[in-house]
Amino acid sequence: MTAPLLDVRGLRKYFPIAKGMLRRVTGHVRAVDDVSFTVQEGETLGLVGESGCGKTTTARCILRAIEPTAGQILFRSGDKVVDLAPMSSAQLGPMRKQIQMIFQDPFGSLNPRMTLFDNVGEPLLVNGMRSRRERMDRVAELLRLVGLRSEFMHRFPHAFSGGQRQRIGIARALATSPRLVVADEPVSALDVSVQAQVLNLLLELQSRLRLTFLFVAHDLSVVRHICDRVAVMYVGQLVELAPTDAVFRRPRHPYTAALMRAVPVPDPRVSNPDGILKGEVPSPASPPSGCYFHPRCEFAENRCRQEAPALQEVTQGHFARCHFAADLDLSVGQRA
Amino acid sequence: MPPIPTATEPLLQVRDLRVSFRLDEGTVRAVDGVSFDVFPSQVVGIVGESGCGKSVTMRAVLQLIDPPGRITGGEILYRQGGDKPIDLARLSPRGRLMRDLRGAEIALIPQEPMAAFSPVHTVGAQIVEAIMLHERVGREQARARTVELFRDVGISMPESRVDAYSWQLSGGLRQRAMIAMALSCKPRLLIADEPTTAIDVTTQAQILALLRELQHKYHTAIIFITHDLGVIAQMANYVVVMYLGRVMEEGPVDEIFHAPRHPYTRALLRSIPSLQTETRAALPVIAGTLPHPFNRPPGCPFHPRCEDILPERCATLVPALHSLGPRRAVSCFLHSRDAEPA
Repeated sequence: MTAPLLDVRGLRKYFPIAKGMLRRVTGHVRAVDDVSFTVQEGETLGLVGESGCGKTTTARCILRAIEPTAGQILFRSGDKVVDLAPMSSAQLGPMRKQIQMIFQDPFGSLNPRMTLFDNVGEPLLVNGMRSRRERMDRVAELLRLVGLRSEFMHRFPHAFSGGQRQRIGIARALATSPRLVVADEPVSALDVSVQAQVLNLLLELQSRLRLTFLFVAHDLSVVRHICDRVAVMYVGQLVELAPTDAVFRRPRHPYTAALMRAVPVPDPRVSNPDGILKGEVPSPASPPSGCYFHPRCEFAENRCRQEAPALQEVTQGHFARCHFAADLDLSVGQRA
Repeated sequence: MPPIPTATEPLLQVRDLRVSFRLDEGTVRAVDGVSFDVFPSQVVGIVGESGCGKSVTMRAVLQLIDPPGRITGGEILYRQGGDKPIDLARLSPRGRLMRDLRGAEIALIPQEPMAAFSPVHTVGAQIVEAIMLHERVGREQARARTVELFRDVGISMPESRVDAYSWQLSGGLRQRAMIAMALSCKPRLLIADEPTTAIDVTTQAQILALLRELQHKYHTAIIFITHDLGVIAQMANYVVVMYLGRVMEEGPVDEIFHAPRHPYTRALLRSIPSLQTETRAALPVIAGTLPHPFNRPPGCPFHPRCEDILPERCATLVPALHSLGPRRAVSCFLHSRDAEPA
């Protein structure tokens, strides 16, 4: 088997908490705390969790928009595997065109003073495509690829709806023919009727261009629809990692099960299963002892309060960070 | 789903409501002939995508439309006591009567609790102010009631939390405090405008459960505005589906989800990925995009995106909201040839 396209090992990102006049560092927010996962070429890995769980910070570390505190970000580039984590910005330059991003907010992520040609064509210019003619051809091709008319390239972003703008953002991300695309909540700002269009577009582009996606999202229905595997994060840690079918058939971490139960079922004849998660997400600056989830977990025992569980492989390819992952039956049934 | 309570008379009747915004670029008809009823202790869900007029409709009920917006037609009949209903659309937004109703009889839970609370006053002080504005009670009494309300909405350590500022509370607590404020004068009608859109899914589940529990306890009627069909299915007894300022379809929640009559409702229901649909298959989509408010299509607003378009009618005539039975209506030429007068 070939090496994974992306292999994240022991990734950590701590933000210092500075207090007082001298801004002395009094502690750290462990936004990402020892996260490891791989992404195979052509695969879509969903990174799921609630606000503050560290999913976006993880994505930003991989893009090297921020510098990780520790860990390796191994990226397969051609036949070589390189570690992005320690690279300087000069070294990162040639890597950047291989890893691109699709942003959440289609209104904030396009420059309103630039035409679509300039917005979508800028990554090409940065990467050395000097000829305007050549760039025009490429932008036209990209716009058609995402289902927009190439004549639109001389218009400005304000002329387009949210869904169309998200298509423009996707065209820009694809401009440099990246191999890994990090999509941070790409459909959560869109209307329901447009969300389906953009999801279909992403699926279609993936099979056509053999793209690899890291899909950051909070909406489990969307994640289930589009991802091959799912990684669930809670307070900076990975709590479950498994193929999508396996997670939804039988989650192994009580937090994952609680997340699934919380999604309102779009059918009035089916009630949401009982068991609403109580309490709130703890602060990553002062996480609880033992298992971070124990104060909210209905299955918590003494061991959970004292001993932090390791991420263990429960069945092949299905990892969970719970002492009782192998024993609990967390299948989320729905009452009819 | 609990059975739909059958009260004899509706608490609120919205009849052919029209709201438009006159701007330099043209007039936007944000709400264009909307009608629906709300019965006591019933949850009415209003569902629709951005620009469908669901929030403007609610702001009209509260008389909170800011210029250049204006209610240009229709009635908003509110039954305060047993006697004749008041037409809120005719009341002066700044008048005594409207101000007495707002907050006391009809309360609002806004979408962004962060923006709704003043950051320079404690949340408790803001709720105390609301209570004292509407009722003849002293500060001490109002404060005691606020603490009680906080306990009711599941805020732990209510005695100390009333003195917190909104920015010291988490998103979930802030929304609970907002609900406490909305309930502070025991309103008979509660308008919840996307109350869970800005919060996480597990917190959303808590807030929805709380609203259901409070609704059973106080028998408040709720108008629940959302774009999330899952939330609607779990919360509402009765659903109004809106598109570009018009009601496409309305009816009991079970019929809307299991026997939708309007092509828009059907397409909307098909297009959502749920935890039950097949994975990685292309989702059925609604073709095209939401038109820009200045470019409202003539005829039925949905006709450019409709699969079942009747070319000779839909593009020119506006279908009237046609009653299919008690509390069930649809505006589509597939079901009735009734058109709005030109």
